[in-house]
Amino acid sequence: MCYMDTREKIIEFFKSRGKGDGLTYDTDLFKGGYVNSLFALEMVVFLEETFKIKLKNKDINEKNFRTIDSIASVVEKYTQGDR
Amino acid sequence: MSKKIKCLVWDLDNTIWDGVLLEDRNVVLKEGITDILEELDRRGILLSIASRNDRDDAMRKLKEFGIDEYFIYPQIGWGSKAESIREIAASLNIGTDTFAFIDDQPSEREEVKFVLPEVMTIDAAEYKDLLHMERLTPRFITEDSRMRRKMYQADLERKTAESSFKGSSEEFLATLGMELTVAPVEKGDLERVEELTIRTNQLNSTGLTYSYEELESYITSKDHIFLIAELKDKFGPYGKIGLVLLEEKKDELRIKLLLMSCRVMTRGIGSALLVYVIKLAAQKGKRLVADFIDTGRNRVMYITYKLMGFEETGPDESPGENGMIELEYRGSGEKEYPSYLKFILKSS
Repeated sequence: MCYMDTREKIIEFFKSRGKGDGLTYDTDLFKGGYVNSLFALEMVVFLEETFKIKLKNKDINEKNFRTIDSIASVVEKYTQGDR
Repeated sequence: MSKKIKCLVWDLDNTIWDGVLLEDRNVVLKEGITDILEELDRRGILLSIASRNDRDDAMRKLKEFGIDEYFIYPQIGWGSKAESIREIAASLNIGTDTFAFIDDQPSEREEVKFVLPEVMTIDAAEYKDLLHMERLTPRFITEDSRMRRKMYQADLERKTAESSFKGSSEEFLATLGMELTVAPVEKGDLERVEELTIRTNQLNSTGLTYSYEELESYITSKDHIFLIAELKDKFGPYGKIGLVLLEEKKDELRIKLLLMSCRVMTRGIGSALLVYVIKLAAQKGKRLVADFIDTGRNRVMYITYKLMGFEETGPDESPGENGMIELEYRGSGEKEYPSYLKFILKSS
């Protein structure tokens, strides 16, 4: 099976929500105003469904959600075992 | 106990006016109807229409009578009235169990009763008793009740503007010119405060409810800071939509309660209020902690805290008594208000 890069899937999600403009893997999502809490909740649900994972409370924090790169590393912590 | 009515749906022919518009262009309003509409509107009960008529003709007539403004999401056409009520409920985002329907035709009332048994049906012959009906008499009328219809109308304009807007949601928010005003809770706010604690589920950090007396005591308490937030934008007011209750100790500031109305879900208000509290704690040189209870419906509030830099103080995933989790602010750097809104602090 061929995997799309985790980061690509996440950036696709931002684009699908009209938030793709000028967004790169290391854009500061909070500074750029890309994330409000409702969007963050939708994103958590998106990550859990797309990657078939259950994020622990301790994974949901400012540091892990600052950039697409950092979100991807959290996700990969869960998914890597499967590959 | 039956719930209070939030929306009353009116038939037109032989209910609002005497006669049938299709047959007689010169129908006349029933006696006293304007006063009744005005009073229901003042009570914060939303009014709408389910009528079998030509839409343009009927709207023109309502305008001629000067009562068209009172009705929100009017359904005038040839469809089923139960379906119209469903449509109105979906547009307003309120449950049909808080709907009432008034019509002179028994068959129409029966149809609604059959499809939507939770809707209260009223015979138009009883229209003069409407103002005395218990379910149409709210326990109290707040400033927000009086403005409710205007707030929904403003919301309708906002939604239309948002759906036709080309660009990201942040860019849209920037066009709204939002002003968030935060002020100490005053005695006159208490009814709205109580209403907010009861009605708010998703954007509520604990789901705990307080008695009127408890709420009142926080106003004068030296150990508490009790704030209410009001939001408006270029389309009009959202009303008083948020609450923050802080408990102040020697070296600690504790957020006992943070909540806001679902109507402002996508406006970033929770984060803006937290920015204020974070700045306040820093200014006082105090540790900032927050009480959080997972109610099964408030995950968005949990995420708001976490993404602002709050962390669990106890061992992970193990709530204490009453499911209470303690969060502590451990964020770094200066927090700023969202650029798309103006934050105004009013002292008492």
